[in-house]
Amino acid sequence: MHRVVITGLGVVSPVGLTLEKFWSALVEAKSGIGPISIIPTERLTARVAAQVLDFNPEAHLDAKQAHQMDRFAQFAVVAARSAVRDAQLEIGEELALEVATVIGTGVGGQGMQDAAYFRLYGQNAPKLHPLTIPRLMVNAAASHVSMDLGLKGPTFSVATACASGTHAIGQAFHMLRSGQAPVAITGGTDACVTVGTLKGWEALRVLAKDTCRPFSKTRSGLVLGEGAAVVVLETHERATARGARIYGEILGFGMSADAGDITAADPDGAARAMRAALRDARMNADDVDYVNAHGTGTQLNDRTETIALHTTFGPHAGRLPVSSSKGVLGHSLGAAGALEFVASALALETQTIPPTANFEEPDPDCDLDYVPNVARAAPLRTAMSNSFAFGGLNAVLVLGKR
Amino acid sequence: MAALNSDGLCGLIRKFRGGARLLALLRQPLPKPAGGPAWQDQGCRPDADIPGNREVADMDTIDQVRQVIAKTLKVPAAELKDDTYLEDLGAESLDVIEIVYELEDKFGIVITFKGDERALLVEAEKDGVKSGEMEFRTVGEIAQVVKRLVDAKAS
Repeated sequence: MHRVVITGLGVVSPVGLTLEKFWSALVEAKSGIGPISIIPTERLTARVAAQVLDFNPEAHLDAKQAHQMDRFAQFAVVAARSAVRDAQLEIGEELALEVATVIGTGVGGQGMQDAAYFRLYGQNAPKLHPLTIPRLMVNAAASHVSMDLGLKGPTFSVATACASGTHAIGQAFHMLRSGQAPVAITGGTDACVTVGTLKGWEALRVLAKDTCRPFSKTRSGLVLGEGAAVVVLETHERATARGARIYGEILGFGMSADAGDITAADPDGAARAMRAALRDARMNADDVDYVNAHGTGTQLNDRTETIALHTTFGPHAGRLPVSSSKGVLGHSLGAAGALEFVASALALETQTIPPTANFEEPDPDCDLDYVPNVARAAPLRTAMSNSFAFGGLNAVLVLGKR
Repeated sequence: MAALNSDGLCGLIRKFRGGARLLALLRQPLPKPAGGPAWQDQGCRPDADIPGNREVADMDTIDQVRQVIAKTLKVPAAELKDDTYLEDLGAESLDVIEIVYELEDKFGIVITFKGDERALLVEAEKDGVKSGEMEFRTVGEIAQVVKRLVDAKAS
């Protein structure tokens, strides 16, 4: 069993492409949610999203490389490069053969899919662009990260909707812990602000029309976001041997399935995933100092997650700060868990709890300490990051700093 | 097919409810900071089908073919000589297929690979006129495939 540490972080987020911008927006509760401008909105009823507005693919990728990718893969490649740079990791020929690449995505190349089907059904085009499939396939992000960085170890994508990023990092963590790889480049990505995706979410009646207010009584739904986060994981011995900066350690990973409703989360399933993560980390519930919640801002999720937190933590729940990053970042599906993992790592690094943005009024059904609107300095040894996906698939990571 | 590529397509879009508005939208300059709508340059470029946006019609066929190759492979058109091999321009597996797609789209022709596509032997067809089997390895050969059909149509 190897200890697994976090040595590099990279983000492409609605509040910036650097860790500094990302973290300061989270700490200041400065929301990245705004009017949709990257797609036509006249057919949409919910016209807000957390878009990555300052992303110019050709500023990062050469023209031919950018051309081969949908936006979701471009995000992942740029975030992966940032993470490797942040880790100051040299990947030589020998190491490249062993590095694992595990990238989560909820919906894959939606921009490409939308464009192709518009062409096919809307314009009656007789044929589609040859890059249609290579751009939209769900594994394109993992493949392009491996191609871009020359990584030749175990490489795959993970798709569990809103928990994809967390499941991906969890898989990579277990691979390193068991000795299958010494280093992993892992995270999540999605670029789901497309007309098709938004119409689909609209039909579920869970989209807020103005903004996302997790755990607030006035919450009216989730707001879709986009982006990517990729992290570098290394075995503790490898990281210390090369004198790498260590943000923290992954202590445990837990998964569960509700085996119930396709969309409505089940408090029992969520609680079982949290308990599984604690068991994996050999920790007691009251060892957790902070929870970065799934906190989507829908009536149901936030109530259900609160119940699950009570079940898992018992009396400790009353003392446990819980916050959601989705008021700032929106819900970027497969990227969400990875972005929130980075937020949790930075919380440990800076000993600061990022607040729940847009919190207006307490809800009697949500009776925990949600760190409303204002960041809080606190001694943090451990943090938990929750992701609960449609389809009842739950994933929870526990991080620590020694 | 040919009708879809020019005025016919715009007419078709106009027939749909909100089609005229869509066309007007497509004709607007694309917003810069966000890198344009998500569907831009994703294989769906409706604006390229609007007559006003097409490249100069009387441009020499060979020059037009050269431009398609240069644009697809992201190399300067000046680097393309008649005897330049695609592989020497760094063309990979899908690049050849993409060049074929772009040529078919631009000239309203159908290009079929004969045998293994790596052999780069093709037959092209336009409105029932066939080119016969031709090599498709160099810039000059590719231009000839297209030119033969365009010339046949003109005569």
